[in-house]
Amino acid sequence: MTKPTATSSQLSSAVIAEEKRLRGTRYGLLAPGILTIFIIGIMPLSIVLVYSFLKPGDFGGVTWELSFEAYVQLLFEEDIFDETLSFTTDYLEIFWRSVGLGLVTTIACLLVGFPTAYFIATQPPARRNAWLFLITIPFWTNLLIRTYAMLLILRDQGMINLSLIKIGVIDRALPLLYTDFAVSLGLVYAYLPFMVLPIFASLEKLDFRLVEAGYDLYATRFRVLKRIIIPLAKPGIAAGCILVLIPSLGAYITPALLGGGKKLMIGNLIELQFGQARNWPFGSAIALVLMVLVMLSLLIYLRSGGRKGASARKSIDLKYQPGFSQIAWFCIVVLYAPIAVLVLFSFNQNRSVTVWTEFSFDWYVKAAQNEGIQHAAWVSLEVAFIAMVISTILATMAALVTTRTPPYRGLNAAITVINQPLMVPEVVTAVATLIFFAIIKQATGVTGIGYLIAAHTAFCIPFAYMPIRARLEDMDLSLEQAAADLYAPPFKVFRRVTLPLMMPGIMAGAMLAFIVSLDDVIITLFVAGPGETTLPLYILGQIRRGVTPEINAVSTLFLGISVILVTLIFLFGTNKNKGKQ
Amino acid sequence: MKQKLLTTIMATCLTFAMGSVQAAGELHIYNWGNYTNPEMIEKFEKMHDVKVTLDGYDSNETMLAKVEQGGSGYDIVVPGDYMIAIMIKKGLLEKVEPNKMSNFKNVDPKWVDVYWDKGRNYSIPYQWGTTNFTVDKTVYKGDINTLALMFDPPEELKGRINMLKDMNDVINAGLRYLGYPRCNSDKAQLKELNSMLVKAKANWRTMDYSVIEKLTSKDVDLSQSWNGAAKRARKDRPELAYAYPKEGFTGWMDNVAVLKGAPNLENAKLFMNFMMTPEAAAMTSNFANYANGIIGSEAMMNADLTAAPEIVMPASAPAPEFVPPCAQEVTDLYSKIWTNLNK
Repeated sequence: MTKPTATSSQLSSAVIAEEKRLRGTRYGLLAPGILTIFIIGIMPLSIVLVYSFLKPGDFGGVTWELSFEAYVQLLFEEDIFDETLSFTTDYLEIFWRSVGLGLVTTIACLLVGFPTAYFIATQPPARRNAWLFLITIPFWTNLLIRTYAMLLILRDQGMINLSLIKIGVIDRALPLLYTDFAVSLGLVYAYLPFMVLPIFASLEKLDFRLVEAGYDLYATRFRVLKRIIIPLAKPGIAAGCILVLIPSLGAYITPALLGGGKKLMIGNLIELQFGQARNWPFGSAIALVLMVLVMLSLLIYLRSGGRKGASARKSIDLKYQPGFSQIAWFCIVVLYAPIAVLVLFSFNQNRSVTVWTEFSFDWYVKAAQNEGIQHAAWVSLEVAFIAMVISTILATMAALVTTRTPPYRGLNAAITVINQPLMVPEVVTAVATLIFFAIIKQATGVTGIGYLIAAHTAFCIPFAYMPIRARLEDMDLSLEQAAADLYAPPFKVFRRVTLPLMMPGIMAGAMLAFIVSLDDVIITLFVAGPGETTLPLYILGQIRRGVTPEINAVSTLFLGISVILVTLIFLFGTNKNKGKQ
Repeated sequence: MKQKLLTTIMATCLTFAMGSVQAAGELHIYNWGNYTNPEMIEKFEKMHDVKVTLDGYDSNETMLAKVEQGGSGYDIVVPGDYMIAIMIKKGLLEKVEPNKMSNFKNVDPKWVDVYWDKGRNYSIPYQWGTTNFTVDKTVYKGDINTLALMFDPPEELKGRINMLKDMNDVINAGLRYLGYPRCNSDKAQLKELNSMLVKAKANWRTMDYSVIEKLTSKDVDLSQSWNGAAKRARKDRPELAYAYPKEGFTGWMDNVAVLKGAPNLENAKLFMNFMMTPEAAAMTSNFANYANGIIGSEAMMNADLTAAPEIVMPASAPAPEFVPPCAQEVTDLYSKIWTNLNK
């Protein structure tokens, strides 16, 4: 109190210096992620924006003439008969169906995913990782293959119908397949981990003293769940919902396979314009409208803001919520049922993937002799691994400076840019990236798999970013501040305190990035160069001409490898922990 | 440690990025997926000491989009007939003049003066076939050679039909059923087509490319189909019969062509010449299950192929129609009808 002026001026200059340093770090950490997405995501997208205001070219492409027709076409159409322009609901209907299906999928994923994530988060730490991997392993198998396995279960002569008929519950096959039910089931199945992992990352640090306090105040289990647990897990829930809703809006392979292809989704509609309809401007316009809608929903997410949490204390009783463990087990069964079917059919002697005849190793022998399929598998793993590592690093850096910080200039813009690859339907990103890369290739003469990896890295970033951000939002700064008070230099604080604390988020993010890259079809189809066929592309080529069980054999091997790998990581991880103790 | 890891990753990325340096003795083929016999490729590799990479696409349009932007790195593509016409018009194909190559004598004369490449200055036949439908004879016992089975099906086939999810194949079949011409911009006729298709769709169960799987799993009893797929489906479901409807049907041909600016032009020409040998053509047919248009290849083709009713057309069947690409205004009308049908 005696010498306030001097100290305060010293202090303020120190604060200013600190601010400056902070700003430097902030933008330094943000730059690589933002730059990657800007170059690989947003620059190509500007091509789409320009295209949407042009006229379609002869036999695909565009003619360089300004036109608003693409946007007019969305709402009005020239009547085939009398050439008058009238309001059309065709496209709105397709939009509405996609949004409806996306919402149903998101809600179903949340209903199953939240209890599952909660159950996993309340397990002892050692078992927690095992559960996480258990959830992720099925996704090492390509989505197309898993969807095929679902066909085997759901169809008229599929497992459910045959067994129901056998035990006499029904006498005629229930029409399960080629219905909206089958499509939602397929989408829930495809996107469930996108819900579970972020919520887990968020719940893992839940402070059960708060739950205890709730019970002390005579709250029921349901009330505790509603008033304490769910609000605390909100960042994770929001991240999960976005990661499920947006991709399912643009999805079209799953709806086509399980829905029987009789109804278009937005994704199909856009693909049609870039394909047989040969109207690129219209395809671009639909994509941009969808993107704007998605951006609006992301803004709502950003408004939902951050939450606080603290370190956990274990108490089994407090953590119990009725039915949650059953749902978690149910979730595992549902995830593994199609996998079991495909493993079974990899030993089927018959050429068809639909009829069981007898046990044999034929398809393993065939796969061992098939260079194409092996090469494709390696390319897939290579690309997925590198893309996972780079995107996780970039996403972690970006997450560090976009959470737990007072708002600064460009914060919301940065978050929107980071998530940009999520907001555009894949077909559009694919075409835009193709055009953009072709320009670079011709200008520089550089070719190679680097382009494919770059494209994968860009769209993996938001998938890695979301769980990491959700995790960070739940961590408070007190531990880091304590470390800094003990004169730990910033990097040491990061390595010894921040990084270990955010590790579950990073793991979840890396796993999502890996899965997403391993599953990607459309972008890869357009960006891959000679000799860069990935496993999903290989399978896509087979769909038209008949899928052979070789794929099942390779998928089973993939599964085997992943199980071994996971077990190793698991054993290694627990040993290390024991050593430390 | 982390630093080291990062350096390693960077190094790996660089290695991958620079991995595909152009070397002499390479050939990059871009063909439909699962459509190229690996043994045939092996034979070519040994013959000319060339390392071949093979990648697959799922539609003519994907291939066009990729190739048109330039710098795709591919030498050989295998587009369908109408796509060859488009690509020649757009100047995307190299005029390699296969008609002057030594093995051109093997090409069946009926495939030389085709609408998509008159006199064969750009391309040679790869595989050809027809697009019709195949139906379970034990489910439907009547005459199968009419499009009415798809568009006005009898009671036993209702809800048991798969159509190809292909705008042109469905619309062209519909136009034939109504007796109207292809590449049609007559609005009155299209309106009639539109309402006919909407009515027919109520009887379709699915619209999907995976014909074989739909039929062998008994999800449907009739499917619009390419002839090779119909043959393969019959192997698992012998009751199937491939129809040659009296109203007419689409014929198609996929063709080997060389891209303009192909990095390995000479090897591409060698490959083209090689593909006109009866051995290579027969190997392709045995793998892909379609006819090939190269004289002398039948002797080396599998017996079940040369005898298959899907491949060998009966004398009574109308001649297949090869449909050229329609003008953009027609395509715009078609895609409106298609969207309305699928909304």
